[in-house]
This record gives sequence, C-alpha cells and structure tokens, in this order.
Amino acid sequence: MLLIVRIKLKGRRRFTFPVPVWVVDEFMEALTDLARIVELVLKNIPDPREEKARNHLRWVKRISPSGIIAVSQGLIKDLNRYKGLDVVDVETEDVQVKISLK
Amino acid sequence: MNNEKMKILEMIQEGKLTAAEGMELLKAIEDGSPDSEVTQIAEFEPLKKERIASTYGDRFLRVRVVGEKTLRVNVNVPLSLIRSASKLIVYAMSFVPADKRAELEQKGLDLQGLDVEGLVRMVEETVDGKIVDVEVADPQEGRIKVEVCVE
Repeated sequence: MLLIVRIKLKGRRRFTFPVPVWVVDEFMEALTDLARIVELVLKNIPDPREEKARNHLRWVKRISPSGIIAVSQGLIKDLNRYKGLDVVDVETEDVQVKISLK
Repeated sequence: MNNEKMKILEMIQEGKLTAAEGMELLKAIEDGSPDSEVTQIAEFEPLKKERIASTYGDRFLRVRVVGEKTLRVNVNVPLSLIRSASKLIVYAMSFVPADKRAELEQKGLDLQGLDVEGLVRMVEETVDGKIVDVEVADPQEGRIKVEVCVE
C-alpha cells in the first residue's frame, strides 16, 4: 500500500510523493533493536553531579524510543485497513493538496 | 450529474431520504447556482457517508470546509486510527520539560494523567453526527461553511 501525497500548485506544477507504507514499517522494525540497546545503555549511565545535566539525563531516560516505535507500527498496521481512502483533500485558489491511501 | 440524481432516487427508494429532501436536492442540482452548490455539497454528505461507512465498516471523524469560491477542505480520519495515534500523545507528553510539567501540575493539570485514549473512546461511543456546524462570511472567500462530525 502507498501513502500518496499530491501537491498541485497554481502555475501547473504538480508534485506526487508516493510513500510505500511497508518501507516505513520495515524501517521501524529495523530501528526497534537499536532503540532497545539505546534504552539499555541509557539506563546504565550514572546520574551526573551537576544538577542541570542530571535533570536533562533523567528527562532523556524517561523517553521510550521502543514504545514510540511500537505505537507507530500499530498505526501503520491500522492504516493498511483503509486502502483507497482520501484522508485529506484541500483545495484553495493557489494550491491543491491531497493525501490518500492507495 | 445524472449519477447524482440516480443516487438520490435510490436513497428515496431505500427510505434513507424523504421525498421532500430528495426534491430539494434534485432542485439544487438542477439550479446549479453557487448558493445551491454549497447546500448541495453539504446535503450530499449522507451519500458519501454511506459510501465510506459501507467500504470500511468504521466510524470517521470528518472535517469539511466549503467556501463559495475555491476553498474546499475534506478530511476523513477513521476513529480507530485516532485511537491508535492517541497512544503517541502519551509519549509526546514525556517530551515536555520537567520544569514546565511541574508548572502545569501546580495549576492542576497532570499531563501524565491525561487519558487521551479514553477520551477518543468516549467520543467514538457517545458522539454521533455534527459536533461543529458553523457558517461564516469571509471578505475574500464569501460564505464559508465548516462542519465537523463523527459518522
């Protein structure tokens, strides 16, 4: 399935960006292991003495890249159910933008 | 055009539209004036809704903006997709710096405690039909009709 972004400008210029959804999914899959390693490494880094750096590191540790990837993959899986759907269709005097799933 | 008329007649036959509503739509098509075009687009929603719902068997959040001149916005987002995306918001909250989060907590807003998924589920279960129906006059675009609905 493709996520197709079509942009048509006033001067007859037309751009089409086909994004294969499976490629994004594979990319996310490939990132998952890397994200887990990063999480493991971050967990084992001791807190710095300086307060500002310590707060910053705690903030970074709180973010879960593997969680974000898992949710994004779920979103991609859901997208696959809507083949043929025009998600966004905007037309103004100067530009026309259409995002659809094909 | 004939296809649209046919659909209207079919909907009357199936009882989805009353005869009066059907007549109004047919008249709007025949008139073809800009004013009736706006009405026609807005009134044609049941047809499109029917088509989308039967194709995907799901409920959608639809945003539609129709201007008198060229402005036309049509956004269809499946609610199940919004529910999935709402999980991302939970992660997005962790990007809010700690000091800002503490500031908001002092004001009684706990970002981590926000149940966005629950909110979406509640909209999915309880809301049906139009949430927003606004008509405004714009000096450039003329009359603009904005509709947000869950269907």
